[in-house]
Amino acid sequence: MMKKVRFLGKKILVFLLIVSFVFATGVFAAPNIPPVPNPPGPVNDFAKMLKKESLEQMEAVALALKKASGSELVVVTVENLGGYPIEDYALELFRSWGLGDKSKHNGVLLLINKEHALTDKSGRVRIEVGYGLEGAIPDGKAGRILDEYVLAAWEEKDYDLGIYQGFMAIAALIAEEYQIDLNSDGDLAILGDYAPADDFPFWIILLIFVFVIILNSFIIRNSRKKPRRYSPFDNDHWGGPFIGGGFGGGGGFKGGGFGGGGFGGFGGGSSGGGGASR
Amino acid sequence: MKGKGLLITIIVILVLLVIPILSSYNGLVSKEEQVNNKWSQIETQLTRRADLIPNLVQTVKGYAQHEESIFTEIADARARLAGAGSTSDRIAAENELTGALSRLLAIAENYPDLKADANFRQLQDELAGTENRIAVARKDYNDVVTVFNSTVRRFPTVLIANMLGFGQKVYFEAPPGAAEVPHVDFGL
Repeated sequence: MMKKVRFLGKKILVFLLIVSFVFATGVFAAPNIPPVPNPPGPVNDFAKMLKKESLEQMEAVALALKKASGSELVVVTVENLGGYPIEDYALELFRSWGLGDKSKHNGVLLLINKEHALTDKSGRVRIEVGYGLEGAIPDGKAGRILDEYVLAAWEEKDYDLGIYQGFMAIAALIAEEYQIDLNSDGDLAILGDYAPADDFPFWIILLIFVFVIILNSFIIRNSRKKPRRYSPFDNDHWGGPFIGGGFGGGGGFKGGGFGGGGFGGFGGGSSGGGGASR
Repeated sequence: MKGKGLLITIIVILVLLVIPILSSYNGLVSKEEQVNNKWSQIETQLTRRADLIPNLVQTVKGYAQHEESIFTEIADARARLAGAGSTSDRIAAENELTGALSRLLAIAENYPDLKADANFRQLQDELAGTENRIAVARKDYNDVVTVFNSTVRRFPTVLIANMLGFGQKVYFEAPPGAAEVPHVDFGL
């Protein structure tokens, strides 16, 4: 009888062990991410993939961005992800480090998984965008940065260059969102090379605008001479769309930032899973 | 004299009863509000995905017009979604749509021209990003539902919850096979 009870006890113990093991490795487990570095900085090359000069330049740009807008652009390289999908790993790291301002959520994480980068498997790299910058860096743009800047250089096995270019391209989008004057800070001048060029230059829009106004006044004068009610060049049909179109975005905040020279701590921002992975 | 003592005792007992009821009621309300808040974040992402679908389907159709069955599947899933009433119906319909969309992306793999299309790549990135946001919002929602449900079931809150009609909330279970975000890989 006594033996039986003890046997049962052992069984229960084994069962509990199994259960706790399942719980530990299953749904409830979170990726084992590196702790917040001390002091916290924007460039965290845990996997030693970066050259010294690119590391220093990225640090300078991130610092200048934070000073000008309060946004936190952070790059992290890791040896591997411990078997987790890069999306889960990036989210966990982003939230537990707390990238970006606590209320503006304007952090961006560029995460590189060295293991997959070297073996060219998916889950090599991810751009994780905080809630507040989802407008400035939509998923489509994040994916294009990864294709055109990061993976393009990685094709040539230049991992340092790929990370560097990707970082600068993201920084350029952030600078554009906050309308930061790139010449205001010597460290930011470099972003001019990465400025997004997919929008019409302002002077073209202005030219079209002026052209339409001239055209309009011309047509109005003509139509006064010989009124036609349903002319396709009628003012109602023309004026609107050109005047309204073309201008988007804008409206960033300024201010915030840190007076001192260092990066300071991370702001405690969060992400909702926006961004892109490759 | 005796009556006064009894009255005081009754008042004390009432106060002792009412205070915990009030405080656990307030606790339930604020936890329920968190659940609602997280659910609305899921809804935002689901709407965002719904807005992406017409464009995506149109782009894929341009290259793969023969894949009729997948387009009907998506259209059916969307119709069912529009007719879904309760939260659990909605969840089932959304999961169906998730499955149909991942099959659509799988089909796209067979069309190299489609895969190279810049517009398609952007849409695919946006869809993958939105699916990931849905996964994140779902996790956040389930986390607060867990807290709410365990509060509702715990004694003595369970008595108050039953009295005031706080039922348990439904979890948003991920559809089988959709645990992983569809990876966008153009083999660069």
